[in-house]
Amino acid sequence: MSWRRTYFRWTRSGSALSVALGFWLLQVALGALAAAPTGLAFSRLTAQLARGDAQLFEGGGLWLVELLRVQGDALGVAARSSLLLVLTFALAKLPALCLVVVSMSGDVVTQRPEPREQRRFQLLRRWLQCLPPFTLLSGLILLLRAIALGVLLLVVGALSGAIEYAFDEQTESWVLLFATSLCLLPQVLLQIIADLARSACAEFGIGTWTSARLALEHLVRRPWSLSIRWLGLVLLGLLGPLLAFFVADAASVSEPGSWRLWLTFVAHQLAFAWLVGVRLCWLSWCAQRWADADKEQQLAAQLGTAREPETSGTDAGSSPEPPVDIAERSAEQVAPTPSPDAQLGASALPRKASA
Amino acid sequence: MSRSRLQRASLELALGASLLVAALVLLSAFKTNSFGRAGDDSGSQPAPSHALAVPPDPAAPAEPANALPTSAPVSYQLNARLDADEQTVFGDGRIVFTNVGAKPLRELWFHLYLNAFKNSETLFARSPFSSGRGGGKPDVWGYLEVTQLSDTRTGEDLWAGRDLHSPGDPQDETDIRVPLNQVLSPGETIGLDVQFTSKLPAIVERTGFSRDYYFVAQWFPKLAKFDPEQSRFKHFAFHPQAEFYADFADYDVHLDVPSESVVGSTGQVVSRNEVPPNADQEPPLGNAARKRLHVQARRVHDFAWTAWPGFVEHTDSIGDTQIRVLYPPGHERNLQRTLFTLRFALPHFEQHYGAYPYPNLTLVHPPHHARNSGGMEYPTLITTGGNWHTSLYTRSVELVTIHELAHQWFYGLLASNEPRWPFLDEGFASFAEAKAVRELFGTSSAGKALGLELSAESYRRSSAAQYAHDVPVAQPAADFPSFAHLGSLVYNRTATLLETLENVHGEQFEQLMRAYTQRYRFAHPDPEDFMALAKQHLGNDAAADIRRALFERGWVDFAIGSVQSAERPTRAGMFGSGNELEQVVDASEHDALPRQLGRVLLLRRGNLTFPVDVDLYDDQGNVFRKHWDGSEEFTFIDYEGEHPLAGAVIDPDVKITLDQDLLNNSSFLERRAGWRSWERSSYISQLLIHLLGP
Repeated sequence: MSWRRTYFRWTRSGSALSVALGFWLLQVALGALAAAPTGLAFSRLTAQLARGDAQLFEGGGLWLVELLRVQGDALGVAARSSLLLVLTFALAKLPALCLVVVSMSGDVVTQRPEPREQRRFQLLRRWLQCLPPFTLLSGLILLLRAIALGVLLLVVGALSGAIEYAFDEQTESWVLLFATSLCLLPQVLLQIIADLARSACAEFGIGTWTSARLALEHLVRRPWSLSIRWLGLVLLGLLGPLLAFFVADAASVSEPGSWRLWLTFVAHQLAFAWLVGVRLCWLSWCAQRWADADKEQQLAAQLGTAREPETSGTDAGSSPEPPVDIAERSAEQVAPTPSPDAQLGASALPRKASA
Repeated sequence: MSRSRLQRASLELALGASLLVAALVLLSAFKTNSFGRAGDDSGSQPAPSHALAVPPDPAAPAEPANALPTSAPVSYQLNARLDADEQTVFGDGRIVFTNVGAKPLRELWFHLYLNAFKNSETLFARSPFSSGRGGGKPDVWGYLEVTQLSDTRTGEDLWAGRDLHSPGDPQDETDIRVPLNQVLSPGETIGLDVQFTSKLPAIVERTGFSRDYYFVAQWFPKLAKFDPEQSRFKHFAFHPQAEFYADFADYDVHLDVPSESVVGSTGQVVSRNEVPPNADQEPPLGNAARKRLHVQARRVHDFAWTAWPGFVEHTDSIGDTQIRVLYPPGHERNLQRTLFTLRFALPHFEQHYGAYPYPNLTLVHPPHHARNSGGMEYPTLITTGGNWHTSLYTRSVELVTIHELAHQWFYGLLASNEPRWPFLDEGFASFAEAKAVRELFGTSSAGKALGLELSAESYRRSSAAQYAHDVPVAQPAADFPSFAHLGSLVYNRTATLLETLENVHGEQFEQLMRAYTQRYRFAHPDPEDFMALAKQHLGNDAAADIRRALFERGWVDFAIGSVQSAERPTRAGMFGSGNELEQVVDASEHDALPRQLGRVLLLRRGNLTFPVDVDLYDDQGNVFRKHWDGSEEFTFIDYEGEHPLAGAVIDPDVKITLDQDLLNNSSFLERRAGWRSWERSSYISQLLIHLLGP
C-alpha cells in the first residue's frame, strides 16, 4: 500500500524498526533522566505530607502554591537543572535522529545484504558518513530558526506598540494574532527544509550545502502542499498529548488509588509514543519522497528520455536545475512505477552515493 | 572514508555543534527579552482565600431598614461642564457645611486631590520610584484650580486667604486650609459658593481622560472629613499609597457633556435633556449639541462620573436594585460574567452585611485604552476591567466585580478612614470577596481552563505570609515601605486573619460581622470599634489575638515537632518487696492493653493562639482526631493503639489559614514517595526534549 510505503518506511526493515524503537526509548530514558532533579526535589519536599505529593494535584492549588512559596528556591534550582539537562539531551539526541533518518534511506530499506552483521555494518557506515553534514545542517537550521524567532519577537513587539489603540480592542487582537502567525511561517518552512535536507543527505550521501539547496528547491516548488502536510502531521501529533491531558485530568491523581497514577502514566507514555511515531512518519515521508524522485530519475535515464518536471497545480514551479553529481552512483534496482510525488524535481537529483 | 573526507567531516561536525550552541544561546536571549517586556501588565487583583462557609441564619435579627440617615452634615450643589477639547471640567456651585462639633470652627480644610497630578514635585508624583495603585506619573498633567470660594454669610471670598500648600509640604497642593473670616459656631451652617476648573490628567490613579473617554473622580474641592468629637477636620495630603476619606453628604449635580456621550455616575439621574447646537453659545461649550443631566445622590461620601460615546449600555435589576452596566463594544461576554457575578454577590453581601440602601448601582467597564481607570470603588458606582477575551480563561472580571461591589459596604457604608486605616476597607472587602467567590466558584475561584483549577485563596494565603514579619497590618497607608507590603498585608493578611477567625469561631464570628456592619452603617468606624465588638462576641483572648495580629505583626506557625512510635514495654521483672516480692513473667495483663504507643510533639510558634485539631495516623491508614487548645507553645499528644503510629497532621482541615507555613503541619515516620510529581516531570521533560530538539 502506498501510504504504508510512504509513511512507514521505519517499519519496512528490522533495522529501521529497531532504530525507531531505540529512538523512542532513548527519549523516554532521557526524559526520565532530565526529570530527576525536579522529581527528586518534589518527592523530597512532599515526603512528610499526609498524602505525599498527591496534595500538590488538589483542585485550587493550595499546596502547590504553598510549596512554591516556602521551597521556591530549592525547586528553582531543581527546575533549572532539569531544564539544562533537557536542553543538553535535546541536542544530544541529534546522532540518534541521524541514525533514524539513515535507517529510512533507500539503500538501507531496499537493500538487505546478508548476513545481518553486514547489514549493521552498512547502516553504521552510512550513519558515520552522514553525521557530520547532518550536524552542520541541523546547527545551521537551528541558528536560522533562532534568528527568525528573534525577528518574530521584534516585529510583533514593534507592531504591538505601533498599533496599540489604533484599532478597536478586538481588531487589535486579531491583527496581532495574524501577524504572529505570519511570522511563524519561517519557522515552519525552516523545519521543513531541515527535515527534507537531512533526508536528502541520508538518501544520497551528499554534503550540507547540496542537500540544503535540494530541499530548498523542492520547497520552492511546492511550498503550500509541503507546509500543509507538515502542519497536518504536527496537529495530528499534538492530538496525543491533548487526549492524554484530558485522561490525566479525569484520572485525578490527587484522589486515592494507585490505578489513577498508572492510568495517567500509560496515557502520557502512549501520547509520547504517538508523538514520536508521527514524527517518524513525517521523516519517512521525506525519505520516500527522495527515493521516489531518485527512481524516477533512473527510469528516465534508462529510457533515455530526459523527462521535464511536470507541473502540478499552483505549486508547480520553475524549470529544473541541472543534475548535481556528488558521488558515484551505485547500481540499484529500478522501480517500475514512479509515484506521483516522484515527479517533483527528478532531474535535479544528485547521483546516489555509494553504499 | 578518506583522510580528507574525515577532516572535512570533523570540521563539519564541530561547526554544526558550534552553530547548535549559538542557536540555543540566541534563542535564550530572545526569550529573556520577551519575558522582560511582558512584565508590566500584571494588573494584580486582590484575591481571596479559604474558609468554612457560614450558612444564612434564618433566626438572625432582621436586616436594618433599607433607609438612609435623615441628615448629612455636608451637601454639594455642583454644576459641571465638560470641555472635551481641553479635557477640562468647568465647575461651580455651593457647598453647605454644618458644624456638628461642640466647638466653634475658625478654619475649613479642603482636599484638592487632582493637584496630586499637577507637576512632578507633588507628594504623589515626586518619588522617582513606582508606587501606589495607578503607577507612575500622568502623561498629561492635571490640576484643580479654585477661583472662588465665598462665604454666603458675609459674601467674602475666603479663597484668597487660604494656605498655598499642604501643611509642611511647599510642593503639594492637595490639602488646603481655608481660614474663616467669621467663626462657625456649633450647630451653625455655612454656605460656600465655589467656582473651579478641573484640568483632567491622562488617566492616572483611576482618574482622567483617554482619548474621548473621561473618568472624572476627585474633581471638585472636597471638604475634609469633619470629626465632631474632636471638632476638627481629618485632613491629609494625597499620598500615592493612600485613598480617600470624607463625610456622608448629599450631592445635587448638573452635568453638561457633549451630546454623544454616554454618562454614568454616582447617584440617580433625575432628569436629562438634549441641548441643540447653539451658535451663540460662548466657549468653552462652543456651538455643539450638548447633553445635560441632573443627578442626585444622597448620603454618599464621594461623587464620580464618566462619559464616553463608545459605551454600550445594559440595564437590569437585582431585587429592588436597578443595575446599569456601561461597557465597550465587544465585551458582551464580560457583561454576562459581570451580571452573573452580581446576581450572586449582591444578595450574598446583603445577607451577610446588611441591605444595599441605594436604589441603583452603576458598573463601568472602561475601554481597553483607559484600562487604568478600572478596578475602583465609588458610592453606587464601581469600575471593573479586563480585556475582551479575559473571561475566556480567568475569573478576573468576576473577582474585580465582587471586590469592588464589596466596597459598597466596606468603604461605602462603613466609611472608614482609608488613608489612616486602609485595612478596614481593603482588608474587609477582600475578606468579603474571598468568602463570596469561594461560595460561588469553589476551588476554581481564580480560574479554570483545560482542566486546571486555581483558587484565589491559594494566592491570597501565600501573599498574606510574605511580609508578615516586616510591618504591622494596622497602620497608615503612607507608612508601608512599599505598595507590595500594603497589598500583601492590608488586602491579603487582613482577609486571611478574618477567614481564620471565621473558621475557628464560626457563628460567633458571623454575628460579630453582622454587628459591626449594622452598628457602623453610615458611620466612620475605626479599628477600636471593631476590637470592642470582637471582645464582646469572641471573648478577651480572641480580641487580644486580633490586636496582636493587626498591630503587632502577630503570627502563628503550627508544626509537628516529632513523631515517635514504640511497642508497649512488657511488664516483667521483680515487683514489690519483702514477702510481697513477686516476679512477673506473665504478660496476660499487659496483653489486654493496646500494644502500640506513640507520642507526637506539637509546636505553636509565634504569638497568636488558636485551637486546632490534630489527626494521628496509624500504619493501617486509620485516623484518630484529637484536639489541642493551642494555648501553650508546645504540647505532647499520646497515642495508644493496636497498630504503630505512622504520623500526625496538625490542623488537617487548614482552618488556620494564617499559619505561616503549612508544609510543616505534618510529619510521618516513613517518607511518602513522590511518584506523581516524578511521572509528571518525566512526561514534561520528554515532551520538551522532543520539541526542542533540532
